[in-house]
Amino acid sequence: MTLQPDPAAVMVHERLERAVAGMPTPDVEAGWAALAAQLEAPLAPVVPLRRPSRGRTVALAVAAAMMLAGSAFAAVAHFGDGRATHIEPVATPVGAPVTGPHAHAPFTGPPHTGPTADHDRTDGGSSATGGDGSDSGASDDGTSASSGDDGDGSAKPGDDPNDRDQGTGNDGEHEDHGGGNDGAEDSSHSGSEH
Amino acid sequence: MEVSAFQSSAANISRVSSDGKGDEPDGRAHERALVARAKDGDRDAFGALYREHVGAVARLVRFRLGREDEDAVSEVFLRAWRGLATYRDTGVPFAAWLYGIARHVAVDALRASVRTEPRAELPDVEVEPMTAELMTLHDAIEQLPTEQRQVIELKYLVGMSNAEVAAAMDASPGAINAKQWRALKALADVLEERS
Repeated sequence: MTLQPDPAAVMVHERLERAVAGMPTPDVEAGWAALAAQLEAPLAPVVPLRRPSRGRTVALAVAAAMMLAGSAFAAVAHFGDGRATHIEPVATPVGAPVTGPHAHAPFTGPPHTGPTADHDRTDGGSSATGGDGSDSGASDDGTSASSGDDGDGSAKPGDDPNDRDQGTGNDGEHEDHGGGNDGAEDSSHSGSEH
Repeated sequence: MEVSAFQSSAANISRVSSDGKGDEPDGRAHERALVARAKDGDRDAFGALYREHVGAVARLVRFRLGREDEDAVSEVFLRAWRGLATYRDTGVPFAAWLYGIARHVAVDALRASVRTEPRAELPDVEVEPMTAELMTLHDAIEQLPTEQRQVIELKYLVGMSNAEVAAAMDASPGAINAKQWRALKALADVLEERS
């Protein structure tokens, strides 16, 4: 059993054949003669976009010579009198204070280690902290290390995540900005700290 | 009577207007030998290839451009001559290679004609009936999918056999026959819509 073709497709097939058969046949020999003449014609020479030019070479040579001359002149100007410039090492005294825009404040001593009254503390940011929050600011237990000396505001592995005192020395959950208390203090006592 | 004519046409579909050069192995071997000689610079061998394929190329160019264009036909063979060094015989017929070049040349010619300055008035030239029929068929074929359009052009314009089209499109001859039927049916539908 063979598949019967679609009559419409067969009609299109015949239409195509008629159209193709009606096309004129080209003059083969004349076409070949014209083409053969083109085959013999040489291809256009390939011209590089940037040909080496004498002017560019001269300009590069002059620039190189000027650079060398400048270097030689600079060497003669500095060392031509026979005395080599000697830079003396600068000795800095051990105890001399370091000044400058990035200098830190001098270290004044170890932090307080014992119980300290609030009125004794004037550097609440650098003194020991870690109050238990139940002493109402009367004294510190002195068991925690100070974090106020860090002062750079960056997080450290031991920092309290709730610490908002900007590195001024308090670790508890309070916001006295370096007032010296550590616990969750009562705000009514904050005035007695200063 | 009508039925027998119909069946005769259907039987002839698989051997479309080919001059019988592609199916026989001798013709294929002869063409390969000509191509090999032409690659070595033998102009006579290239001339033989030209004489064998210029009719198909001229048909394709005329069908694509809607007019005869001897310069475009010459350009196809000129590019083929210059590109022969890169041609590799992978079993695809030489005509299929020329078909690819002809398509590019036709596209370039159409672009060049678009770039030319448009006329204020078209010349008063009467369009031949055959040209009008070709334009109708061309516009309808352009609506087909690429694969179906290639099958139609290779079979009817270039004059390839099913086996040659199959080699060119990397398919079996049976598959090409089926594609041809589908393409003809789709073309019939497009033509009916347009009429």
